[in-house]
Amino acid sequence: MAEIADTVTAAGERSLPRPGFRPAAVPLAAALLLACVVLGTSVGPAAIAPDEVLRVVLGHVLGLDLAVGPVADSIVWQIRLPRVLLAGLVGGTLAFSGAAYQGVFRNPLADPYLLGVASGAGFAETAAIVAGLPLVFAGFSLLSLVGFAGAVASVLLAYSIARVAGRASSTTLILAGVAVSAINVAGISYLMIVSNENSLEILNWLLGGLNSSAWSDLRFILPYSLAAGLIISLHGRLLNVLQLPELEARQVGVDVERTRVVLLLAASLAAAAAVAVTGVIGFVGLIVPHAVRLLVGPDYRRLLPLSALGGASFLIVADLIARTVVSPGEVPVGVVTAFVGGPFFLYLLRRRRRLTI
Amino acid sequence: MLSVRDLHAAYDERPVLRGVDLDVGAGEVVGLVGPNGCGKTTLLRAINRSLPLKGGRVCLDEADVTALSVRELARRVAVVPQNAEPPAGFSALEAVVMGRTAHLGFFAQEGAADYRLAAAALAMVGVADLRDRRVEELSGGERQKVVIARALAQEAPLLLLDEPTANLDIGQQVAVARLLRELAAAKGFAVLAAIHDLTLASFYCDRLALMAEGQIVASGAPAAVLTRENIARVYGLDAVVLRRPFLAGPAVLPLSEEV
Amino acid sequence: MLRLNERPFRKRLLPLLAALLLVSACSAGAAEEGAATPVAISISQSDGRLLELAAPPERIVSLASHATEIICAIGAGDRLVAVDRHANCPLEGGSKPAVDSFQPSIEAIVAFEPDLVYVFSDQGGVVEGLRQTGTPVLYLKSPATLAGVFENIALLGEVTDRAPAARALIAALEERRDAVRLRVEDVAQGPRFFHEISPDYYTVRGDTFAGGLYTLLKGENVAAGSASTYPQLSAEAIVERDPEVIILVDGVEAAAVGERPGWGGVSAVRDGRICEVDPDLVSRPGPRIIDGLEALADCLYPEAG
Repeated sequence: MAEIADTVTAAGERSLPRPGFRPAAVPLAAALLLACVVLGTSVGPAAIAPDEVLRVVLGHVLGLDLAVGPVADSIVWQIRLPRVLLAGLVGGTLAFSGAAYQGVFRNPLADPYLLGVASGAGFAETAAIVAGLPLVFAGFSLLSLVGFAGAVASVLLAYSIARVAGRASSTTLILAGVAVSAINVAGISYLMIVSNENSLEILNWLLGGLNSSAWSDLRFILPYSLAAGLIISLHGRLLNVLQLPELEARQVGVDVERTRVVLLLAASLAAAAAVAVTGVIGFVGLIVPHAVRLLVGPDYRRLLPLSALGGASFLIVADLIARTVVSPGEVPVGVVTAFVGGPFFLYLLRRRRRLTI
Repeated sequence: MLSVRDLHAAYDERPVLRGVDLDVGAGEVVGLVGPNGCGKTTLLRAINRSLPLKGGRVCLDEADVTALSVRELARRVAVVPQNAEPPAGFSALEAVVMGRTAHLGFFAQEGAADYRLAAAALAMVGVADLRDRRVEELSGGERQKVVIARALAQEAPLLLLDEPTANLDIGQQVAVARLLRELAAAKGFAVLAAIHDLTLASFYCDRLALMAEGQIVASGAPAAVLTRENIARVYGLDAVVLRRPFLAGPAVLPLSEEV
Repeated sequence: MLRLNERPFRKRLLPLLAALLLVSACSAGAAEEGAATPVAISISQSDGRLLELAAPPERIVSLASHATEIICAIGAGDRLVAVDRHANCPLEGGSKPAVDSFQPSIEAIVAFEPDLVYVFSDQGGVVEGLRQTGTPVLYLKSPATLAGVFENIALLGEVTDRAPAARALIAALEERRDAVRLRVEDVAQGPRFFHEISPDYYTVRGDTFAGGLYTLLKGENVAAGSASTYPQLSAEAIVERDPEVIILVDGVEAAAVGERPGWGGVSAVRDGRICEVDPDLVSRPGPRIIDGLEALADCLYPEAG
C-alpha cells in the first residue's frame, strides 16, 4: 500500500487547501450572535434605557453596585437576560440537533422532532398536568423532568420498534417515529378532551414559548446541549461520509449503525431537554440547517457550528419580535419563526439556484 | 488474497448463491460474467459482508471476513458499487477523500496527505481536472470515475467492482479496464469485477468466472470459458466466438437469427 | 402539527356578543308559522333563527354550564334530563346524566328524548344536526355582560314557566350588584391589577366578560391597550407595570407568584395582595357571577369588606 501513496504523491503535489473552506464564517456567525444577544437584552416591552441595561448586566457580572433601579434590575437580570440566553440556547440546540437528524437520515424533511421528541414530551407533560402533579418541586421544574423522560422514552420506543435483526433502516425508523408521534398526539388530544379544565395549560405548552424563562431553565438544558454538541461535532467528518448511501458508507469504513445510534441519541437528548422546558418551537430545527447549508455548503464540520450559532441568533431575534411587536402582549414565538424564517428561507432558495439539499 | 468457499446466500428464503467457490490472487484481474440475476452483485456483496451469509466462508488472506470490524474490512476491500451516487454538494475531491475514512482515527480529520492521495487517485482515473467540481454537476461517466477514484484512495488490496464500465463510452471503458490491469500488475491488487460485456471482460481479465443461477459454472482463462457451448447454455444465445491474433482475447458476437 | 383543542380559546375568544333575546310571551304576531298549535314562546336565537315552543319543555338537555346553573337556581332543575359533564354546580356528584358540550354526540343527546336542547356553542354543527332530528334547539351564545346574564335568567324563566322565580333571582342579584357598586362609589381610581388566566400570563382586556367586572369595580387593568381581547403579556411588561393586586384564576398558588424570577419587587407581591379565585365564578355567566364580582371586590378593596 505504501507504493500507491508514493506514486500518488508525485501526481498530486499541487493540491493542498481544503476546497471551499471559509474559516471566517464561524467568527462572523459568533459576532452576529453576540450582536443579537446585546440587541435582545437592550430592547423589550419595558422601557429601560440601554445604559441602564448595561449597568445592570455589568453590576451583576462584575459584582459591583452601579446604582440601578430595583425594577430595572429585576426586569433585565431576572427576566430579560435569562430569556434571551434561553432563546439562544434553545435555538442553537434545535438547529444543530436538526442538522444531525438531517445528516443521519439523509432526508431534508428531518427535524429534531422526527422520532417523537416533541410529542413524547407533550404527552408526558399533558399527563402530568392532568394528573395534577405539582409543576414545581423544591424550586425545580418537575414538569420539565417529566417531559424530558417522555421525549427520551418516545425516541427509544421508535428506535426499538424499528430495529430488526440489529439494524434499523432510516425509512423504518422514520415511519416508527411518525407512528409513535401519532400515538402521542392522540394521547394528548384524548387527555385534553377528558380534562377540559386543563386544556388551556396544555395548549399553551404545545404552542411553545419563552415567557416564563428563568436561570434555572438554562441550567436544566445546558448540560445536555453541551454534551450533545460535543459528541455531534466530533462526528462532523463521519456525518459527511454518512451522506453516502448506507451500503457505500459501510464500504468505506463507517459503522453506520453505531454512528447513527450515537448521533440520534445525542441529538434527541438535547432536543428533549429544550422541548421539555420551552414546548414545541417549530421551524428552527428544520430551516436553520438548510439555510446554513445553502450558504456554506454541505460539509458538516462547518454546518454544525454555524447551525448552532445561526439557530441561536435566529431564535433570539424571533423572540425579540414575539415580545415587542404587540407590546405589552406576546405573539407565540413559533408564529414568528415561521413568519420571519419562511420568507428568508425562500429568498435563499431562489438566490441559490444550485440547490444542494 | 481472496478465497470464497461453498458460499450460500439467500434473499428471504429464495436462494441466490448456491455453493460458490472462487479465488482471486494478488495481481490478478478476475471477471465475473453471467446473465442478469445470476448472482454476480450478490456475490460481491456477500464478499464484503453487505449481506448475511447462509453458509460458507469468505477469507481475505487468512482472515475470515466475519471476524473483521467494519473499518478493518474497509481497509482490505474497496468497493465500486453499481449506480453509486456521491453525495450532492461535495466536490469531487471531497467525495474521493471519503475513501480515506477507514485509515483515519475515529475523530481525526483528513490531512494534506489524504487530499494529495485523493487528488492522485482522480488523476489516475484520468479526471484530475474535475477535483473542484460538485459531484451533482458531473456526467454519469465522470461520476463513475470519481467513485472508482474513491475506491483507489481507500488503498485496499482487494478491489470489488460491480459493472464499473456500465456508464462509460467505449473509449472510457477501455481506459478503466486498462487502469484496473495496471493497478493489478503494478501494485499487486486483486481485482474482482462483475462485467456484462463479455468481449471487454475477455480482453482485460486474467481469468473469468461464469455464473448461472447462483453457481459458478465455468472458470479459467477467457478462451476456456467463453465457448459457444457455454454461452448458449448460460445466456440461451447463439454466438460466434471470434479468435484473431490482433485481439487480446476471444470476442463474442451474437449471430443474426437468419443465419 | 398537532390538532389543538379549541374549547378553551373558544371559551375565552368567543366574541361574547349579547344574544339577541326577544321574549314575547303569547305574542300574536309570532304565531303565523305554526298555525295549528298555539305558540307560547318565541325566541330569536344567535344564528337568527326563531324558536317557537307551544308549551314549556319538560325534558331539557343543557350543554351550557351557566344555563344549567340558572335553571336550577330558578327551581326548574327537575326538568333537566342531562347536563354538560363540566357542570359542577349545583350538581355535584353526577346527580344528572352527562353529555359532552365540547365534542357533542347528537346520538347521545337525542337518546334522552329531550324536548329542548340548550346550546351555547355550535361545536361540530351540533345545532343543525339536532334540528334535523326534529329536536327543538335553543342556541344562544354566552352573555357577555352582567345585563346579558340577567336577560338570560329572565328568558329561561319564561321558557321553563318559572318567570316569577326568575324575577326574584334577578332582583336579588341586582341588589347585590348594586351593593358592590355602592362600595366603590367614592373610589375615583381603583388599584392596578393583573388578572391571570394561565401560568404563562394570558389575561383579559376590559372588553371581556371578566374584564367588564373590573370596569364596574374601577380597577386599572395592566393589560389595557393590548392588541387582543385575551392577550398574553410579557413577564417584563407585567413587572414594569407593577400591579398592586394580582388575581389568579388559573390554579396557581399565591405563594408561587413571588418565586417567579423578577417578580419579588412587584407591589402586589410585596404587599401580599394576591387572590386565588375560582375561575367559574368570574367567567361563567350564571347566577354565581355575583359571587365572583363580590370576590373580586374583596380582592381590590379588602379594607372596605
